[in-house]
Amino acid sequence: MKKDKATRRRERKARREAKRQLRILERESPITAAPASGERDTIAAAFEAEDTGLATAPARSRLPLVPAGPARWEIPQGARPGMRVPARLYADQALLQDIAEDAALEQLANVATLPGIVGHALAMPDIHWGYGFPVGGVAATRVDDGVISPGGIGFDICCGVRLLRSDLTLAELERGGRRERLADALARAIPAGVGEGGTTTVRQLDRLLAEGARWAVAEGYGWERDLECIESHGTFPGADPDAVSARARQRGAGQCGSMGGGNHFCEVQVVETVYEPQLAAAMGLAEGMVCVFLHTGSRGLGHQVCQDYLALMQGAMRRYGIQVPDRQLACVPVRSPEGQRYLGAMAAAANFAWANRQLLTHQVRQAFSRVFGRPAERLGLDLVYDVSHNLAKLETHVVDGRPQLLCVHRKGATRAFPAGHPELPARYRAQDCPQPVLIPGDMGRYSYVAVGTEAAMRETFGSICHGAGRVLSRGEAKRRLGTVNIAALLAERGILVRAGDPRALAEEASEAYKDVADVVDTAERAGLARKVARLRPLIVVKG
Amino acid sequence: MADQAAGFETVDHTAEVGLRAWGPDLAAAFVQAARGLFSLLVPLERVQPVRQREFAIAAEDLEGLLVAWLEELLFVFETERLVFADFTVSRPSRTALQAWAWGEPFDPARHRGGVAVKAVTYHRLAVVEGPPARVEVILDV
Repeated sequence: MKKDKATRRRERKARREAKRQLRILERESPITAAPASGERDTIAAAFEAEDTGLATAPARSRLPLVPAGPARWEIPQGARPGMRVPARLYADQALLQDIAEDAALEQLANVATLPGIVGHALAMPDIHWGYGFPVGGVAATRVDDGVISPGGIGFDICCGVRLLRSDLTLAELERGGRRERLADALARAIPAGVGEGGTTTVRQLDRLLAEGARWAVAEGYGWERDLECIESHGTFPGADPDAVSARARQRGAGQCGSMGGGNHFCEVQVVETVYEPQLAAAMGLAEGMVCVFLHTGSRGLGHQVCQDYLALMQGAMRRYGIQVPDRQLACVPVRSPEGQRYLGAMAAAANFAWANRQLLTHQVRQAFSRVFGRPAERLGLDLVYDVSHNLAKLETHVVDGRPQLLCVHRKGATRAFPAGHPELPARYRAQDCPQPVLIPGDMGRYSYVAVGTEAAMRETFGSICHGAGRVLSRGEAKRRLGTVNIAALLAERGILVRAGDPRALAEEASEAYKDVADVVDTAERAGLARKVARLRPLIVVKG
Repeated sequence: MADQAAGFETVDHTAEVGLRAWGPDLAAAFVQAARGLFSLLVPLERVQPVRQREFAIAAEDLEGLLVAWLEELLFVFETERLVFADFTVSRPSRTALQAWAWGEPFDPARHRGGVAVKAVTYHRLAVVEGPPARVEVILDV
């Protein structure tokens, strides 16, 4: 569409302003472009009522939940002022209890107020309270006139999971004390935890931010054929390294090739159960096979990008006349200069995450190679898939009978495209295999490989759950389990743990998480997902 | 934590940590907030005050100032691997503050045991001048 001179002038001016704002953020004394303290709109007031911040614990949800089908519930559009669409929650009765205990549903209703949102504000069975957007949510907005909101992606941009298969069986791993040696080798090879840097300092950060996993492979980390099995081939189109602030680069520079702490992990697992033999075979999986799950994201760089743009957008929002019930839902129109700049920065952060997982994959393969005395190629350590659960993607979906270009925000939710989708690797398309979805459980329990269904494509913009979801806060978990020797208990069950800080294991114990089986079963009952395989942990490496 | 007049505490949220700090005035509350942040990252009592760092923070409003203060501390921790346990904040205005912090380089042998704080969020952010002053912020972990 041709633009007239006036429009082009306005847009140039807005772009300059956005650049100016970003430079302000980068100065020594950081200035956040936040709205004045006193500013509260009527929607915010309606939502927060007598809430005085942390003084009161999140109240039990009082929102109406209307049954809307098997494992489906709806919060009607009229339930709260400002909702533009209804909200939909996928959960069964048992999960509902936990979900209604915190303010996740209120947050879901807040998401439904975003300008340009279509369909429903969606919540997966693993939904829990987050900041602004709940974790385990999907929100799609029209690209033409809708908004992009960094909170709908999360701080850990492109946090995701990658699965490697192998030619090794459990028996081969058990032979000659190899399991212990592999645990030690992995712990040494993978920097993890609070305050830990990466294996590689990156002088040429620009190339990494522009090319992601492709950069890593070009530098000798991993194999060319890995790229095909990464979402977006490991390179997010439209990445704009210039949109990543100096602060974000400083945080990221020393961290590429590191795992981080918290719920990030590297696990060696064995395929325990195969539910769909044909799909499992197409993915290169079989019962008794040793596999590796890797879970990490964009480290400090992604966190800083989210932080920078939340601040930027809070100021810019006023100019676009957008009001949101929660400051953390800061957003701007997708097509605005600020929106485009965030998308460029987000894409660069995603590239950082994919490069990070590619570097870690290289470390993992080297560790296996040293222990088994053969090159990783001869161990068959191939990539099954790498997919993120904190990302926004521009995708075309059918809404109201016609295809529309949407900005699909997935925070704690995984893209799950059906068989034959053009985004999928050629070898999966050839075998009529849908996109693999990797769903990690907590470290004491199993993980799943699943696929999305056509119903998911229709109802949830091709999205399903991402993991177990916490039920206990870190503090509560430490209180209940702090004195328990978690590593010893897991060792009794045949799981070797190598943790940088053993005392932090309590926070990651099974008791602190929902049972991922419930989450995945619910998604299956709702017709959104099909289980392909279940994997059991053998070695856990954590920060 | 600490005495009644000034202190901090962490409040549980399922996947994040809430930090609440208070003091006789804003400066004291900001000091306690900084201590609260580092108490999550490292065991405070094991941090020796061998290095001093000066900070100058500015923001558009008081709440933004709290976020910017904690963000800067987190940034210095991540990029320079410095941990701090003692702080002095000069009388903060609504939009600026000066501060000094004492600590040392992060030592994995002595300082392990913390939670990986990823970011300072704007969710349920609150700054009450009082006196007594009270601040509340949620941290992404």
